[in-house]
Amino acid sequence: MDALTRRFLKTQEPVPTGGMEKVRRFFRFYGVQILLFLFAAYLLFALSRLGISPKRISEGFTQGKVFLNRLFPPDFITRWDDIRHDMLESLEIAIVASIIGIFLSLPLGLLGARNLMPSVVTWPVRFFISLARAFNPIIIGIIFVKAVGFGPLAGLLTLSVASVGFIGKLFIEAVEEISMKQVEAVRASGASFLSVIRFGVLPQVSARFIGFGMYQFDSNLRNSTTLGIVGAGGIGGTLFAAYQRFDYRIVCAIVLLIIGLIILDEYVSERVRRVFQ
Amino acid sequence: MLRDVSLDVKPDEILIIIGPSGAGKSTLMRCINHLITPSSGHIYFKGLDIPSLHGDQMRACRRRIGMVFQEFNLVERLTVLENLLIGRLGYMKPLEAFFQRYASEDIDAAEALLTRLGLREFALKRADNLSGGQRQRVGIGRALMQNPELLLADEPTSSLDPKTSVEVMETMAELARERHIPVLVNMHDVNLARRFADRIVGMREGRIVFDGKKEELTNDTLAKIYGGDSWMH
Amino acid sequence: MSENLAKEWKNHVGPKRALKTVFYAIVMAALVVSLRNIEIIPEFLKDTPEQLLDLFRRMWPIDVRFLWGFVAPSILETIHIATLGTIATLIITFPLAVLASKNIVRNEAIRYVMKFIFVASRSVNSLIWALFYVAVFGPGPVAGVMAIMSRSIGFVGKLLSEAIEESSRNQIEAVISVGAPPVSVFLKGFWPQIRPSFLSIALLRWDINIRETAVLGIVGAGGIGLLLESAIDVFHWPGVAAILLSIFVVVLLAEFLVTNLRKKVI
Repeated sequence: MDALTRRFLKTQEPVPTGGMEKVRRFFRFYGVQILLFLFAAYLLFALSRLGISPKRISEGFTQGKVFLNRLFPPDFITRWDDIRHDMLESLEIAIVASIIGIFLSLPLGLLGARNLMPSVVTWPVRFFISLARAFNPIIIGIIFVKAVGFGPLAGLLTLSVASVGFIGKLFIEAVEEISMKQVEAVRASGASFLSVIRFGVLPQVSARFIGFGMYQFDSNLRNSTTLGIVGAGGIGGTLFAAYQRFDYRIVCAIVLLIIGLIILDEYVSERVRRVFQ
Repeated sequence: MLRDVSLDVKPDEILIIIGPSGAGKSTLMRCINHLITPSSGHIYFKGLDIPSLHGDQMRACRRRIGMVFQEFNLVERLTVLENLLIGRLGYMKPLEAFFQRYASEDIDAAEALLTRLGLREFALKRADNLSGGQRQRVGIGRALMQNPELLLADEPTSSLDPKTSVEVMETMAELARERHIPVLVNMHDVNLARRFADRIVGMREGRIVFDGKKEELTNDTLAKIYGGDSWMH
Repeated sequence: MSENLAKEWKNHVGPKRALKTVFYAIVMAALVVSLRNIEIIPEFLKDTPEQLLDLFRRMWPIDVRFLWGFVAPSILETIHIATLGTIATLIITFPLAVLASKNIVRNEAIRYVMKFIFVASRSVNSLIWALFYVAVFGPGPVAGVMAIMSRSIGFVGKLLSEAIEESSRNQIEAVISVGAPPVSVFLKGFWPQIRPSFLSIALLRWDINIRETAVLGIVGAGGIGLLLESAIDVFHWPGVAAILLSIFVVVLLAEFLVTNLRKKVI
């Protein structure tokens, strides 16, 4: 109840009896102000904990100018073969991982839906999916690199797991939102379980599947470009190598190419989405 | 587009403008509180020439003119009470508004007005919980909270059903007369206009083609305003 | 269905259906080409489950002392970086999003500039931004906050401007008509409409940012990533497990918090 409401209801305001009531009144009245104050306090606290001061930031800006000079003009030529090969690799990893992700999410999504399966089944599935989503693909990438070695295999596995995590969750939510009446109707006609799924559940959610897939492809493309930094294949590796060699002009070229690729991808995604609308 | 419009509004009267769509009724209304700027001409309100005012002066002038909108234009997510109090924003500093430091007299006035409008029980409900007629009454209340010297109503009943339209017009007319506030309305419902107007003005294609008491509004004059007469039978 | 109607229907649906088939065909082709090109050594692929199992075996049991002594402060730093980055983003992006909205700014050029800023921000992964800022500000949390901010501006900007474009001009016009000063018009006419979307977007991005900050440390931008990298480098797998567990818990908590708060805000 905010201050305005209390003043409006003045005749019905409860008279504070105990100490607790007085405290509650205090908070209700000054609620917003207190929140703002806490907010400002947190800002200052966190800034000081992290050692961020205005001086450091201004120092950074001057450094930044120097740095920017070393970035330009971007150098596309020196390592073009490597760059071209690795960009393609990133793209390919994203494509395959997305498709694997979609295909694996289908059964997992059904198994994880609480309106279709008992808790015994849904709990482990949901847990696994949470696990796959909680970790940044980079972290999953590090683990896979340690397990299967450097190279695109690690990247592929990483993004497949990440994809299953994201699409799986979206799919579970979609399945849990369907109208059970339609499912009941199919069940009542005596159809087998598989048929119930096919004719009762899937028609209601299949339309969104393409959307999920495209969304995940966007995400996978972005991630596959950086996974190389931890050795999982793709342009990230080339980027990081150049970075550590202080070859900033090549770094700039690669970053520009990545931006271009993603802009292109966003455009294509948008058109595809409209076709399937 | 308005052409050569010349109009005098007398204090304490209800003036209703009628006319076909596109006749310029809404444009005229919006020029009065400077939501639209006329390209030429003067609009005098208590000695001030409205189109020449800007900034703070214009806002000071605006708060003396209350406006009721066709689509009620309430801030849906705020409560009815807060919507009424928006009428006082022209008299308050922004900081006061942010911390909801409304004057006690304002809150009391809002409460009294709500009771008068029959909406006391909705005071703390969100505006989008109300029906059309109720919302328009809140709109009227908001305009009246400004303690205006003039009330403008831009097609106030066009979004309402016939019965509610009459109720809303009755409310508006009654409250305006009590406070001796002249009302300038535009609408396209001729019968409603005849029922509530002291004076009727007919516009067509940006010009005034009729200006007189409601008794003078004959079928012939109506034909002049709206064109054709097949719709009258 | 009459013959004409059937024909009309086919004309209406036909091109779309054709496009959809083309799309599927392209996807299939892309899949085949990619599979052939990626250099995966089949033996390694077969080995994968065994390798993973071995790794997980080495992670057990979790190093609890490590958890308390090193992981906790690191995770807190991660949360601070994510939160500060999100707050900074919100402050900077709000005016930018306003400028990018069709219903507020008529000048198309300005809108395009804003939209371009948003796209550029979104296209560069926060890790790459981190690389940039580490080179500029040196390693540490400053680089992390800047990286988070740079990436989030695009995300928040796009969603926020879409929300702004959905707001109704009518409500604002009413507040203008009572003679309210511009700040009051903003507070009582514009902000109440935007508020739910704004808070929802803010919470969503905060959740994502926590996940992203966790890895920024790998390139030196502060947070738990650095600890993770160090633990892995010395093969201290129980410690790695502790770190992963803490990340999991924090992310889960944040997600829980955000989901519930977002429901309240709508």
